Amino acid sequence: MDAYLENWRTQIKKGYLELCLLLLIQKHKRLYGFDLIEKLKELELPVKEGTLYPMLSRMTEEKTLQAEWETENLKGHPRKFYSLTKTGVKQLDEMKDEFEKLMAIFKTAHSGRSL
Amino acid sequence: MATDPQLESYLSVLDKSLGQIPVSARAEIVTEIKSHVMEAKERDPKATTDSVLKALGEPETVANRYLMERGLKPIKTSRGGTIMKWLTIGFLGTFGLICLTVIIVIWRFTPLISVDEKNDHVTLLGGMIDVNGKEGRIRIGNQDFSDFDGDSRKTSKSSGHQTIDNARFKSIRIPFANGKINLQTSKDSSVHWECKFDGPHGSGQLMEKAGIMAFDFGSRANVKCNIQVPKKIKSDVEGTNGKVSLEQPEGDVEVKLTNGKVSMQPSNGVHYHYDLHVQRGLVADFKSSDDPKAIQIKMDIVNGAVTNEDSE
Repeated sequence: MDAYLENWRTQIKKGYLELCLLLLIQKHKRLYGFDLIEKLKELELPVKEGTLYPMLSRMTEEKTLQAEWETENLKGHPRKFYSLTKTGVKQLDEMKDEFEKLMAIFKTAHSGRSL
Repeated sequence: MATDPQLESYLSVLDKSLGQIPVSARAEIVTEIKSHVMEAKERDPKATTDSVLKALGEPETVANRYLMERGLKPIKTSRGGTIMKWLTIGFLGTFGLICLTVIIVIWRFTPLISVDEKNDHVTLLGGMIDVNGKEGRIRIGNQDFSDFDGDSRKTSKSSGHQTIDNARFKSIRIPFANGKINLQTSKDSSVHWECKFDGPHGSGQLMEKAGIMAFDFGSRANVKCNIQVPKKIKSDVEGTNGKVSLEQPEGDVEVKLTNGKVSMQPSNGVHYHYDLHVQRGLVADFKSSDDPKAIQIKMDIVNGAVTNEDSE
């Protein structure tokens, strides 16, 4: 693949991935890391574990997300569930607005309509 | 739950690589990664710790993603096996040093003992200890201990004779640190001596101490003595470095010496029973008699030689 295209895809995916990740968490109220990987894969937006967990960790530090450890059925290993904070909900709303603006710009630019 | 060594090792490297992040946050990260591995294995029975860890990536690489997400400086990563590499280098280095030390020690202290009877010279531990019988000189390392006739030392002289009451005393003690002792048989019932030694003037006398007759040479250093002992009186000679000559003894003799040489000149027609022990060195052949009245010659030497000066 062309290096330029690869670089562009990596950059656009980073922001897009973060948006989709927050949308999934909002939709399911709370999710843990492995579930997020599975659901992103279903959306054909695969992400490596080594990329997702550091991102979740940073977003928790920034108070966009909050985390809670839980052990299901008193057996097995603990799971770290992520949910949106109030700040995170506001940020997600702004991100959605911003993305819709970008989509509108894209559509306008792409339609060939005179600006 | 059983511990998984591979997983624990991975998590340990990850934890160390996250060094810039506070401990509590590091613990959260490590626990989450561990939870991920267990979840992956639980969901897919075919998955192994190895396959899940490979999908995660090298622990240093994962740690760097955490660091970069937080705006911290990533660590320098290297391919796995760094620890093994340093362990191997450390092991080989230590082994090499030990080998080198052993080679140097063997080279330095070989031969263990060398006896030059013609020149009355004994060399021990590759020349570390040098006993020169002719000159009455002992050298240990770079230090020359004995120069009996030299004037530069505070040499004292002692000579005399003393009658021994053989009803009270069965033996005399001759202790010294280093030097040369010539033992002969006295023609009367007195001990005769002529000594030079490093020690306070007035010492070097045969004295009774706690029921034992013994020579007192003060520091016992650089003793050079010709001593004549009456028949039937036992001589106990005890020294650290030096030479002891037994010239036709007619009384029992016991010599204890750490480093040095003992020369024995048997008397014609006298029966001797020998009990000779040299830990490292040489012992000449002696004809030991079973006669119960034979004179007892006993020697214990750590490093050195016993020579037979039999004129026959």
